Amino acid sequence: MTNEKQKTNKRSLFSRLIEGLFDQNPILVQLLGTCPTLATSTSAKNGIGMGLSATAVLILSNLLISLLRKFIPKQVRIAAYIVIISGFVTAIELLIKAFLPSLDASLGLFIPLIVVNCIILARAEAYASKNPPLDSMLDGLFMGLGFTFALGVLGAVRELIGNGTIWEIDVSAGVYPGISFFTQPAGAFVTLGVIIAVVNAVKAFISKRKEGNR
Amino acid sequence: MENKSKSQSTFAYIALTALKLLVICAFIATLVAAVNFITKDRIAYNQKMNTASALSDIYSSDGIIFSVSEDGGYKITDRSGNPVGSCENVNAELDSDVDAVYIIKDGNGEVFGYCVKTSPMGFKDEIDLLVAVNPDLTIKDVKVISLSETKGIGDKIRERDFLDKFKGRKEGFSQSASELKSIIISGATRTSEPVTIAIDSALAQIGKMFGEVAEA
Amino acid sequence: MTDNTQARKFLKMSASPHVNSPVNTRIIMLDVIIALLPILVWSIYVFGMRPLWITLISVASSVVFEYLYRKILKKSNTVGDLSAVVTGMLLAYSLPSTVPLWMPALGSFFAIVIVKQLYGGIGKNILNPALAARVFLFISFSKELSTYAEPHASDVVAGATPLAFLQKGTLPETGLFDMFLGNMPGCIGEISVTLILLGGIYLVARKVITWHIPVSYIATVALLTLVFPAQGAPNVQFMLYELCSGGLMLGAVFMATDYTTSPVTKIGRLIYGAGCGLITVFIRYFGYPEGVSFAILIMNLFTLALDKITAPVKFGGGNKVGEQK
Repeated sequence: MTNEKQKTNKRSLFSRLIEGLFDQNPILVQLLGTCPTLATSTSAKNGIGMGLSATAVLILSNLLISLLRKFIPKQVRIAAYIVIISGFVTAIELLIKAFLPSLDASLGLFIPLIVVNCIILARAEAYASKNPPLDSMLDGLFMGLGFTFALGVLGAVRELIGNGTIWEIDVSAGVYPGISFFTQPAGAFVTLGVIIAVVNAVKAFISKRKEGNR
Repeated sequence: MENKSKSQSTFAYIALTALKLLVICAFIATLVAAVNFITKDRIAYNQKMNTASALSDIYSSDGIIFSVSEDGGYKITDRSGNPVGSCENVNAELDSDVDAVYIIKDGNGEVFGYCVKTSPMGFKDEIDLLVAVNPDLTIKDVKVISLSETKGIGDKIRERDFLDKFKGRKEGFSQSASELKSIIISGATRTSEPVTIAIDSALAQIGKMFGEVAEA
Repeated sequence: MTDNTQARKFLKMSASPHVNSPVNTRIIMLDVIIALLPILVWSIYVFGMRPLWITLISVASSVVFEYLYRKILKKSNTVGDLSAVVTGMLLAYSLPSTVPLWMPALGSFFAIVIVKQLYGGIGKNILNPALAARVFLFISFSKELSTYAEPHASDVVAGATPLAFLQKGTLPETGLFDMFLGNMPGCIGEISVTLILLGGIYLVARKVITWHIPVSYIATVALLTLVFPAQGAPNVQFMLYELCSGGLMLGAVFMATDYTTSPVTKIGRLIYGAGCGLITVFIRYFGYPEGVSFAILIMNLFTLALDKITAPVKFGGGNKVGEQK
């Protein structure tokens, strides 16, 4: 019996990862947190930096909120979540300012804005307040990874088309002038739309295959 | 639902809720305070390093490099690392819009130049600027230490084309509105205008402290 | 049974109303192309062969992109309705003659694929494709899009267009007559006010467009620039210069009148034109020297609302169902 339990746990871990990355990706499917997405995905580095910072906050806040889920009064739970989330964001911001100043310079204003990133509040309300701590941490991890993944892809595409660079290294040897539309918010919208369309097409294709196999 | 016992415990309920919130807030506050304690020295050092590298950029053609010294001030070395001259923070009373003034002296104690650090308000947030002034009270250079303006638009004030326009200036901008118009980057007015304000402040401050006031 | 199927081949069977008209999209587009061609000829005369290459590349890439998009996504081929050709021409007309030749191709891609086809093809786009592509290129390559050639010269002048003068409150160097005729620096399609107006008159005569939008647009700009000239410039002259420059005429006649992105009702059109004029003057006075493209795009977004507000009351319509009026 323990073997069965271990098996289902292991499978569900991997499937939860896939869920966070694709099926329930916070940005591409749930369309949460679009504001920081558009603003910080100007390059792969910025996108992933933002994503990992938000993931750190997500894991910690999910953990604490889950530990306190019986303690936090229902009527004031949103206020409590915000206090907890902003506490962690401030802590992370200070740590970034101290030990990763270049990231601070490029992400600047958007680190404090992680507080109002809908993803974190949504997961707190939808999951962490109802589930045990370890589970909630994992949820935070996988949702955060999905967020980071989407930001990374979006940032990479925008950086490549808009600047001709990959990870801030010029890959076109100065030939490609870069279409700066894509480094700006309007271009972010267009790129995000196209990426979501591609993801939807892939998902439709996969489910059609599944239907066909049955 | 509405009965005596409910209204009696309403007060207790509110009090208990408030107390719980207080506990959460206290816990978080302690956490943030702890992190702040760990990081604040490092952050102060980083900010000083920013200014130091801005100073190094400005005076790079003179072959000197600025870095942060152990006592929290700045020290100057030449390219091979030998200490050269000094960079002192002026402790006198400064104008309200000026953050700091530094006197840079060469190895013989002669004044090599002055630097004024100022943070005028830009479009979104303060823009940290370093204005370097020559001993003859003309502008040597302007450097942007940090800014949080609109990406792609506000960054334009970092471009050499823009900053070079200020080299050699003796007068502030207050008298020449048309000159102002020609210098300001269209589309980035509220980010480029503070730079001209910084120039004005720097010239006024240095003129007041070290020479005749630069009249337009 | 066989009779039926044979009949179906030759007879169109459908429910009433039956409308038989010689007009379809292609005929309308042909008229627009006819109205646009003289402008190109003049432009070649002024700037040399380059406007021709730019226009050809723009049109060709628009058609190719539309064809490929429809083919790859297994939709019907719509290239025959010539709307892609018109988009290509209008995009080319809004560019300076000095742009690198790949730029109109890139712009066409944006106009046809992203602005038009991704939204569902003709009739479903929210923004004017040519104009949106123009703005896209302007944002991405502002230097190339602001550099114009002097008329009849082999050199390129860095953007001291009439509009730049006007924004500072002085009158431009080019004479008014030259500007009206078309001897001024500017984009391929915007320089000859005369030919644009002639094209507009042709289109109104052919009932392709109505007078409402161009007239209200131009009248609003005229009124505002007459009453509020910048910083002490002489009124009438300032107004005339503002009218002749910055692609206002091209925009008012050919861009703002695009069917899909402008209102259907007459009153809606008047409001729409006035709105375009208001925003154009506003941007020219307080922002960029060039406001037409942004103004029209902004008003594009209001078209749906304008149509709703100015919709005529339906036949028999009162406030409640069955109410006697």
